[in-house]
Amino acid sequence: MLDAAPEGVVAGGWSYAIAAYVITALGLSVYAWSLASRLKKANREENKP
Amino acid sequence: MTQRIPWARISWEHWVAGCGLALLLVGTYVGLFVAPPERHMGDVQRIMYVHVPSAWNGLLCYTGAFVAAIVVLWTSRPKWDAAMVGMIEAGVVLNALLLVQGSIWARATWGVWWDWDVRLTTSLVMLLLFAGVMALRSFVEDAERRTTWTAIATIVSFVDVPLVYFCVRWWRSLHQVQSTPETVDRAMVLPLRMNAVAFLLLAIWFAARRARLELALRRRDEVAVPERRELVHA
Amino acid sequence: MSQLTAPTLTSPTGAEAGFLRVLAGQTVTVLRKDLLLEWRGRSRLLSVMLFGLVTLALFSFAVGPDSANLRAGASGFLVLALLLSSTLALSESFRLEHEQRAIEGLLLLPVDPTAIYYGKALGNTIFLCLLAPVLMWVAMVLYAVEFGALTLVKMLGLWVLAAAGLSAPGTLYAAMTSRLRSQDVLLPLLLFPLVIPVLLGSVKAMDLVMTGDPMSQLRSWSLMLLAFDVIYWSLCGVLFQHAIEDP
Repeated sequence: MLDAAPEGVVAGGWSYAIAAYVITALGLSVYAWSLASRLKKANREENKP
Repeated sequence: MTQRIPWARISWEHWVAGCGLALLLVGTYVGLFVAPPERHMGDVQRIMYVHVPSAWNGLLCYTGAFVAAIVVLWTSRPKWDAAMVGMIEAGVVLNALLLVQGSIWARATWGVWWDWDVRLTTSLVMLLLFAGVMALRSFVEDAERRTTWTAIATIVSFVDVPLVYFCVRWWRSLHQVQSTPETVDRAMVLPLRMNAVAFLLLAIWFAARRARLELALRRRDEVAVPERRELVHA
Repeated sequence: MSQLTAPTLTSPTGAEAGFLRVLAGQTVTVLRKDLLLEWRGRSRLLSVMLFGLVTLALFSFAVGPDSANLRAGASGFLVLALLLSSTLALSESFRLEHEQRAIEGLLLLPVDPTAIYYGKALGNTIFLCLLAPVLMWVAMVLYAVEFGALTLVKMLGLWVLAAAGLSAPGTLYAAMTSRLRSQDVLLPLLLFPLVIPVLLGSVKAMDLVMTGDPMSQLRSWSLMLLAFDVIYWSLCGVLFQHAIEDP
């Protein structure tokens, strides 16, 4: 199906699309990791005293 | 003795995130490799499958925060404050991603990294508004005042969003500029809807985790105070 | 006859009208107090005016001496000068209250917080309107724009709408941020994105007034400014009591 797809007016669009997906995935992952580590730290501090 | 996984102790939001992630993977695959490229824009248009879900869910998060803010002013309960903060932050993250995706789209289709397109411009203002609310929050030390003021700022900022949208639209209407396509081909609806739901589920996870963090921080700060008093008496 | 008199005894509008009268009275009292303080400390108005003039000059230097460019951007520079001056004016309006803990005294009196809000917001609006004659005159000179009498009247009208639009959320945020150490950063940070509709609306409208309005768009922009004012004067009035009450 990919071979039969017509070439759009915008050339090289594939790399832009991939870039957008990669940045989105990175952004979501980084935020998720940040949340997890902050929550772990907060729970640890809460249990200390 | 076999280590049993404590299924019952896994928070509900992790299940939601699991579904969301699975859906996102499928939706992304369909969007990138199965759905047909757009007639005029080609493969660039595939950005839409993350761009539009980010936009819808970002706005949904802000709306949720607005509702929570109204409830907070009414009841001032910590759980509603935590929910409000969770939704604001999730909204800000999606909003920021939305701007980056939109910028990449603009570069690919119009050759510039930024364009004063109505929706991009409104998204920028939204980001500034709600990031400002989070900034305000970080400067207020008293928990109850922080809650009330965050709620006030959230309500005031949310009401501004439609005003900004209409204002920028009139402002832009003087310049005829191609905007992003409104109509969506039927073959593209499936990955769009899948990713929209996927992003919603992930946003719920983000908001829930952030809310838990907020409650944990609140408890930590409440617990800390008696220790200081003991030091003073000693 | 009894049908005419009975409604006035039992209708809720009687009590509401009384409450509104009290609110208006308290608002005027707060406004008069602030205006009196302003009059006694006239240097503040002069300082803010001077700041506005400096800003107008800075725009000339930033944009360059090309008079066509300056004339094209004149409305933008003028509104930006108003916006930047407003942060100074707004942040001061509550600093006075906190300096001698006057705000606690104000709250102890049986004055409705809503009256405090409207009194202060009106005071701020008037303060910003007082900047208009000087800033507009200097802008006319620096940016080589000509005003006829009718143009001037329209410009002043738009200035009032813009000043009101800035004062409504500005007074609310000034009340909140005046208690924080970082007020200088937070007030503009919070206010500027919020008042973008005021900025856009007043710049476009003033531009149309100064350079001509072939498609009669002035009405739409003025209505938009008015809508912003109405929405935020009501909303912030309702929210203000939460902003200043002590937890």
